Amino acid sequence: MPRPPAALVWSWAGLLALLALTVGLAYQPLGSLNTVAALTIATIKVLIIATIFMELRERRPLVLGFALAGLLWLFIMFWLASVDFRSRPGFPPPVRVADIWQSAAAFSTSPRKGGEGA
Amino acid sequence: MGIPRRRSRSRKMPEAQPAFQFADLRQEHEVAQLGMWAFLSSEMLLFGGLFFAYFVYRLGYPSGFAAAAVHTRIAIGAANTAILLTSSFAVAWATAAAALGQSRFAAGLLRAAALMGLVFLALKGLEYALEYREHLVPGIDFSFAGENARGAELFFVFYFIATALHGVHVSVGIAVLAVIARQTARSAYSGSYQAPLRVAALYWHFVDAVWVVLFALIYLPGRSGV
Repeated sequence: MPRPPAALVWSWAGLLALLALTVGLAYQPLGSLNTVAALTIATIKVLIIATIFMELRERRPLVLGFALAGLLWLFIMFWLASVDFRSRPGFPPPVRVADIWQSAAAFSTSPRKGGEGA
Repeated sequence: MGIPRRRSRSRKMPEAQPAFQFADLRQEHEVAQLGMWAFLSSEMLLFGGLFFAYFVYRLGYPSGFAAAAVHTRIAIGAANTAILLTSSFAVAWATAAAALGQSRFAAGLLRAAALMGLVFLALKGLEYALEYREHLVPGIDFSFAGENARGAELFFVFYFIATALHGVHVSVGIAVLAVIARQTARSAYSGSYQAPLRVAALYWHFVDAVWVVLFALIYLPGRSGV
């Protein structure tokens, strides 16, 4: 029976250990640190998968650039989109479903402006 | 850029030749890697848009998201994470084994990984069924008591869209692994030509990595009860 490369075994064991750790930490009352811990551990796991399983550590800078390009554009999208949401006066808007139906009904019965076949 | 030279070494095993536009197999491998990473970058943006929507609404409805997230089955979610991580390990081992010429063993590992993918989908389906019975499917049957209903509904909208989109990726990955496993069993990738095997492996690892993030976003919030 062939043996797996040691780097793969260590990565696999590390990933499973991190999974156990993140589940355990989720039940500890850490306040806002719960989210930080969950996202940090998820990032470490993704980095292990990318560098060792996906062999990015063995790739030339050009391939790394292609991989990082996705992250760069993701960052730009997050950045520009969050500027919108952070600058809104009230988010989330205090909308009730009943209000939506009411305004929709008001819209459909109100006379339209502009000539429509008039 | 030279014209590909035809080398004849062995009569028994025909040496793999690069496609005609490549100078050698090494270049073909590199181009395959670049192309796959370009595709995976676009996939990052696809899932990234979903993640961004999640964060926006989680900021808007923090208690609703926490109240909804504790209704997900963390045991199934954690088991599925372990299954996908293990299948990724198997695929990574398969590429290493194929490079050493252990084609049959590599094919077995790829089949095992595809099987783990099927188990993942089965568990996911079980989870969907349980959520349907608990009236947690927005648009079909959703009821959530209390003032968190609106945020909880948004959480489950994200949950179903994100996991369904991921499930489609898992299904595609299973099909790809099954095909690659058959070709590997025929020693198609035992020599220096491994581009299809390694590109398929990249895709499977990516699907695994997306799930790692989804697991943190879906199953972990609100567990500490704060």
